[in-house]
Amino acid sequence: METVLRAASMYLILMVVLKIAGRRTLLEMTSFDLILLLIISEATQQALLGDDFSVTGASLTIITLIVIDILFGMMKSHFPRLELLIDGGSLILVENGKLLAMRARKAGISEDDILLSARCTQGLERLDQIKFAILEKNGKISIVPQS
Amino acid sequence: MHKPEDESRRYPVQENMRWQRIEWRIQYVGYVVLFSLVILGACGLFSKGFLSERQITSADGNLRVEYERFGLRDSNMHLTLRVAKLRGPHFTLSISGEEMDHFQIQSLQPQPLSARSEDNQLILTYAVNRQQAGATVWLGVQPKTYGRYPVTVTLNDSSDVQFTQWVYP
Repeated sequence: METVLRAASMYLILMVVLKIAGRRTLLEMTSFDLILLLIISEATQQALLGDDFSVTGASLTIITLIVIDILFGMMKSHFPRLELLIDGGSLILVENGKLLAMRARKAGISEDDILLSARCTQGLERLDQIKFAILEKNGKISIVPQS
Repeated sequence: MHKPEDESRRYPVQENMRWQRIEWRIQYVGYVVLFSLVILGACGLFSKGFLSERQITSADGNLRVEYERFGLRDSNMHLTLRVAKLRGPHFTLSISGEEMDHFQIQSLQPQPLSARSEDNQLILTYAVNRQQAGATVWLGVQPKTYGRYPVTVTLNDSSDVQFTQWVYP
């Protein structure tokens, strides 16, 4: 029972903390973020397994984590509200070449971030060449160019 | 033609601005909670820090116990028992409480002359040297379960102190 509780509580804690940290952390994955991710997994590992070195314990932990993930996936498709709560929704940041400043500020994304995405994905140079810039659920900014 | 910023758009994606605002508010509260957790953790609310280190002295001042108010499961905690004035050839320290059932004693220094138990009470007897004025007993313990543990330490059945330890999971 303890193994299952450990896995479930770590899953929930990580979900809440990453939710609070916001989508911006996913947006800019620098090499430091990669190391941070490794440290986080290292810190989690101890709490997940404790002093249990058995194959059964590790299997049970992995299965628990996957089952929770499946459960959340099922619940999300049944309750759209829950999906909104866990994944958030899409957010339009630029509309017809105009930056929606309040939204961008609250989402923690600057005009430069949007222009960076526009250059990388569409080869655009200016804000007025963008029809829509949308902050997606996965933390990326998708750009629709003016036609 | 431009809608106000805080209104939901339907094209090219369906937005839900009402929920988005709630999310931002939750995120703000979350920042405050995370920041305060880090500060409280640094101060020792989750073991090892000035909020956690405590000492308590018995009414007659003969027995002083230094302990940690907050501990973590499966990690080490220390407990120091100090006896100020010694009388007679022996002194006896007894530690009682549910703690004894749920804590593992990792180290006990110095070794007692005799150790015995009664219920969930650990009774340690030490010999006293002629020149010896006071004594200290150091214990290293490791909690095995989480919860709240009231502990009583008694010296020679006369002076006693009571304190509570919290163990986080």
